[in-house]
Amino acid sequence: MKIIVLAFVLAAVATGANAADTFIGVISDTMCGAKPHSLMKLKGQTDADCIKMCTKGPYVYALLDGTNVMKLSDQKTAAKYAAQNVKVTGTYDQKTNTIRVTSIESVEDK
Amino acid sequence: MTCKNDAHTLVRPASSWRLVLGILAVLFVVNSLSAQSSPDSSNSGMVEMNPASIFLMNLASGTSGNPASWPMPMLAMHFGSWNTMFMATAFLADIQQSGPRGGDKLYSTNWFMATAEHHVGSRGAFETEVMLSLEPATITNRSYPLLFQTGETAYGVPLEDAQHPHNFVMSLGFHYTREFGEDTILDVYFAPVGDPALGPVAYPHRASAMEVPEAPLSHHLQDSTHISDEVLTVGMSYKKIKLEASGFYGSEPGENRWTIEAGPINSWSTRLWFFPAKNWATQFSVGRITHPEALEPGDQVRTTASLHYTRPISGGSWSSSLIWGRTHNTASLHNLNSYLAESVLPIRRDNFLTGRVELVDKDELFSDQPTIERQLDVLYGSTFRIGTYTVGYTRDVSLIRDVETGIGANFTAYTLPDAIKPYYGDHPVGGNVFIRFRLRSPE
Repeated sequence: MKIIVLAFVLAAVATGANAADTFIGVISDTMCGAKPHSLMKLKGQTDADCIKMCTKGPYVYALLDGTNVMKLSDQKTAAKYAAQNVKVTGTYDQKTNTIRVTSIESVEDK
Repeated sequence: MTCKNDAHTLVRPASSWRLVLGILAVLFVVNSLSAQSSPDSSNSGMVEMNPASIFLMNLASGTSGNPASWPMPMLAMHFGSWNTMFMATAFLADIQQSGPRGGDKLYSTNWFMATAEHHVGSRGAFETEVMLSLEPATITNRSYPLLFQTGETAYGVPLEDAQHPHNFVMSLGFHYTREFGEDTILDVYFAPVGDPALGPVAYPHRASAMEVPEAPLSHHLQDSTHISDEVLTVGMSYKKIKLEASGFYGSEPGENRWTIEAGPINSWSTRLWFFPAKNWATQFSVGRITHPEALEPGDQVRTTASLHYTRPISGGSWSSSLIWGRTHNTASLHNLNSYLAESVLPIRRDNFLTGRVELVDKDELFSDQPTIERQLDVLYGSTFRIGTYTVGYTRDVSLIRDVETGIGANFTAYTLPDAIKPYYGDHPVGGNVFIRFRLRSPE
């Protein structure tokens, strides 16, 4: 009986550990992806302008962690941090390449 | 009840010149692209865009639009600072239909579209589009069987229980779009052949209609103006609303599907779009079309409303549409209504389930049999409401790189008034088996 209880506790801890990963990167969009915004934008536009423009079509806000571009489930919060370095807390769904966001916070000044 | 369409006859001599001019225009654009193209192979994706460019990228047919969240299947490339998009779909289908008026045929519906866009300053953008179809060759004898379908002619006779092919040049148009302040965009569209601001997204471009090779029965009461001549549209978009007005030549294409026709701008329409969120698009439009049918007198006053929804899901996008279209004929005084609901649901990426339900009023089912038409008119009236119920399935198979190749089938059952059952049978049905090829967006 103790072994069964212990197994459940371990499973719960393991599940809990998977539920809240942390991802560091910059808020970008799935149109530009990992390409620099300088390719897409025109002179005078900021990276944030580019990202906001790109997400008007089928493309969405995403986190670029240097190499990987992962879609973000919370688009409204992501929009506030366009082109900023952020820490995203959440779980990654490999099937949909989406981070199910718990929170997004800026790490610009850290 | 019939009359000769003199307008078509008068413009024919000029049509070959217009085709030449159209081809020259396309060659000019292609030449411009070639001159600016970079020799490297990393020219995928878009470059140097502004909000006006993005606005153009999200358009479907003419100035219409699917929900913004729908990822249009296309290849996007840039050549220098020109952005290009290429879209193509082809069905090779065999249709079998029951009943005395049902037909069987091997045919292919297909279309190819290319656009080239370039920014004009920091706020403007120019785009040219061309859409071609080989249906004049791949739909032999000027039609394929489609029970209860009417509209246009073949060999001088009104089509009954048959659908006409599209023209070789389905679209040749030019946009100039400019942003005025944040979220306000002006779009001016001129198309020697194009889609005026009337009706829902035309079915060849509609997200929810992508897996059905045949035309909807309600096509001629909803989106039949998608191939019109001399289209001039001005539209203003502000945030979630877009208001458009068009002038165009109202006659439907003649039987020579290889030419571009012309005529005076004699028809008018206006359309209001509302995009409440990325997954939604809805429109209301009205128009007066001058003498659209070659063998039918009168003008048409058309009113349409539609609601389109796309939900991105794992493995694709679930797209659905609800459409209403009403056409009033000023000569016959008939009011014809049509209702359409359709949906395509991707399952595990490689499977597509399709459904389409229509209720359509038809008044031309016996237009080349005047005796029967008169008898029915006296006894039962001149308009018959037809119901269609289509289900379909497509399975993608990986055969060709960058091409979504699918094998599919659909089945349609019809409901009809008792008065015309002697001519169609009690329970007419039909079905297609098909292979579908579609340019795929890169992963």
